Amino acid sequence: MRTSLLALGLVLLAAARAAASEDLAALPPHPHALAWPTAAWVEGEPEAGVDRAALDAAYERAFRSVSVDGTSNVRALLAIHRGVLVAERYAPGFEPETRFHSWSMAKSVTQALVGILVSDGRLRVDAPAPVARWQTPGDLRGALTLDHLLHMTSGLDNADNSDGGGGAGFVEELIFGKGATDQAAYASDVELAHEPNTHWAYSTGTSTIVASIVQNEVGGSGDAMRAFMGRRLFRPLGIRRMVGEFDDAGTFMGGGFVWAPARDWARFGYLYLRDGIWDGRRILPEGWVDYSRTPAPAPNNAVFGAHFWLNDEPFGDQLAILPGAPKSTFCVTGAYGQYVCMVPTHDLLIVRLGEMHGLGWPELRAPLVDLIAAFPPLAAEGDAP
Amino acid sequence: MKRIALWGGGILLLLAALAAAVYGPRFMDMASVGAGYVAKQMCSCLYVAEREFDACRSDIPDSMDRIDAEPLEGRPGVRAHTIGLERLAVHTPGAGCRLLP
Repeated sequence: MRTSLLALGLVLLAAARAAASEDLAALPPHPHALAWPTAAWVEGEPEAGVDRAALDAAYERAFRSVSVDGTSNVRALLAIHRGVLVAERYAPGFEPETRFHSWSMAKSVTQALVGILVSDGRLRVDAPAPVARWQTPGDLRGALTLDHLLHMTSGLDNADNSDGGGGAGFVEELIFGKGATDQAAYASDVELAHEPNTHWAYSTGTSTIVASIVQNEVGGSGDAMRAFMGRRLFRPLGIRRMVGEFDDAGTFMGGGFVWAPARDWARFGYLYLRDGIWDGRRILPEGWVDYSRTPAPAPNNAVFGAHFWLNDEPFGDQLAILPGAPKSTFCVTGAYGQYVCMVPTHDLLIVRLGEMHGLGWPELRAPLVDLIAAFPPLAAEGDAP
Repeated sequence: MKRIALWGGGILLLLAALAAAVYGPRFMDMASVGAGYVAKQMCSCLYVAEREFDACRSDIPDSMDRIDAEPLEGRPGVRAHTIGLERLAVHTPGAGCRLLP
């Protein structure tokens, strides 16, 4: 009875997601005559049709924002239109080789690693997540799937904003406090606070658990994980300076600790803009990017997919991503204003890295929305894919 | 008058002791989290982002101004300390920085 109910649930879930996927904007292919940015990004002037004055004004507005110590809040701002790097600027003290902290953008890197293992047939998102401490008979957490974890609808009591048990919140205890030396253990050693798929809650701990699942699958050690990340994700994309950090237990801190130059972050985003294909080779399984940008099935969620952020009307206290930008936009985001955003309807990718000392979210987002608005939608030029 | 002062002082001491018992562990916990933040972020900024010490320090929120930090001697890493507690973060090439127990 329970099995047939589960099967029925999966069928209904698949049907709902198929309906949602029909609303997704098509992902534009890489231009035929253009070199892939594996060795280097092709640089060029914006095409005719791009509002150059508006683009320049958006850059000026973005870099005018300074923090209390006088340094620029925006440290790197890149725009890639139709595969060409058409605008790139760094604040003083930063350059194309500088590594920038991902904060939560690391979560999406972790998600890509899951996708690669799914394409290998080594992980399934609808199968129980292989977390050893949940496998005791009768433990309800044993039924949690990678799908629940990637959507942050597991119901685990490890939300970022939940009580950390000391003076700090859960996420602070996880990454800098009591949980810092073995983050996957700390994040997974919690009870269920909600039934799965009934409540969405943003959780760095959950991403850390996902990272540990990947690491265990590829051999368990930090060395094995680094080798896997390099061989299957970084090197195929030409990502040369991305560094993942590992905790004292040797586990990839996939919830918030990856460092990379802006151009490498752009390569990561470009993989998703191109539907998981890189230079003719499928890196992520077919349908993975659509899965990433389809809202998680929870009644209190509208803007979170599978470890990616969606540009829709937020639910309740959820953070709006880029209000005013095209609805097709989906993003990788991190604390203090890290953004890698893909805009399929405009064949556009933007990267914004930096700080937000003394800056509100509306002020931070406004120049990014202006920047996107400088580019025409594909349909307006009559050559939408 | 003297008796009132003694009673008042005693009550104040008792309240202070109660406050320390209730809030002390929370305060120390938050201080440890803060020192962990400073040690980890300074370490990664120095050794992964390869930026200068002062530039890294300026990225630490002002609320943590009372947490001091300095590079470790003899190995790549950062020590952050305040009010009698310290946290250490060390760097391993290719694996970034990690906080030590």
